[in-house]
Amino acid sequence: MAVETTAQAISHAGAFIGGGLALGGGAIGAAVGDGLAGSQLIAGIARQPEAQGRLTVQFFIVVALCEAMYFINFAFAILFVFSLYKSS
Amino acid sequence: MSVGPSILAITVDVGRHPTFDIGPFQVYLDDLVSVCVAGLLIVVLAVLLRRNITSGVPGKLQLAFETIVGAVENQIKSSMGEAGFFIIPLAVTLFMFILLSNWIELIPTAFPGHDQLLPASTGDINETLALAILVIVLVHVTWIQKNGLRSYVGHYFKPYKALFPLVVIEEITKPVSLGLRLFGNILAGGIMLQLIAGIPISPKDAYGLPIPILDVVWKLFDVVGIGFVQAFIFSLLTLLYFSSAVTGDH
Repeated sequence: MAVETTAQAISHAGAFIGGGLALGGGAIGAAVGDGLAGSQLIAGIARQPEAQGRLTVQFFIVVALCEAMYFINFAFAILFVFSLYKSS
Repeated sequence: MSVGPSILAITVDVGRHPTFDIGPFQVYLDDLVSVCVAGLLIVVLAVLLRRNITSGVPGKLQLAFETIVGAVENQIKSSMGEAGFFIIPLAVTLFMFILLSNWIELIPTAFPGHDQLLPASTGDINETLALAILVIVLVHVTWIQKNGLRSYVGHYFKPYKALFPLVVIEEITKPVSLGLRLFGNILAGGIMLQLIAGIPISPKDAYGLPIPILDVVWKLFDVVGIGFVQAFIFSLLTLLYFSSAVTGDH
């Protein structure tokens, strides 16, 4: 990958930094959301062990919605790193 | 096109499809074939189900379908009552179609020197946005059908009149997030497959290309697990949006 001009180098750098920020912010958000859902699940099971089946179903629904935000971020990071850096 | 100093044995290519043009439109050939394969699979399954359907002891295929339809029925009963049962065919079809489209990723069709011949069609933003827009247009039409035009316009101003821009933004966000969620998940899975296949610790085969053993583990978690979860989430959100349309309630 030969970089020819400074402008191209700057646009490459910008694309990679943008992709990294998107991935980092998404990971933090998804992890915090999953952690909150998991803590409520554990608290609910500790309070009432026979509700484990119903609570676990809701937990997985919430986890899927939180992870969805991360994957949207991931798709945009891929867009930045692989496509946008080409158009200097 | 490889990015940066390569620690990978292969290059990861994103967004390149074999295309052909119909008039002003450009069609991705591999996604089209994948959609047709998924649709054909569903039709074959449905025809098989119809031929072997009994009211006695059900076979395995009938049991699987009855489980899915029963789960959808329970969800509808708990959110909008019996009036929403006309949604069941749409929800079950969406779930089965997205599930099968995601699981097509399990079939290894990437050969050296070619793009992947049969990718998951839901890994393309066009496909998932089309599904999402279809669902949301149906939701709006159902709202007007069930509750009348006055109630439909009224719901935009419902909690407080000043919140009108926020309600409009929410209505625009619904199809976009519905489509992007599915697209991002499945595309990420496909890219991870290529990245894992390129990790240098894999043994090499006769062409000097790495043998993707770790890919099998990743496929088990991502394609089977997350493919199922995302199909379930898509149909569950469809049901929830329809429930607010049928009951006329925000």
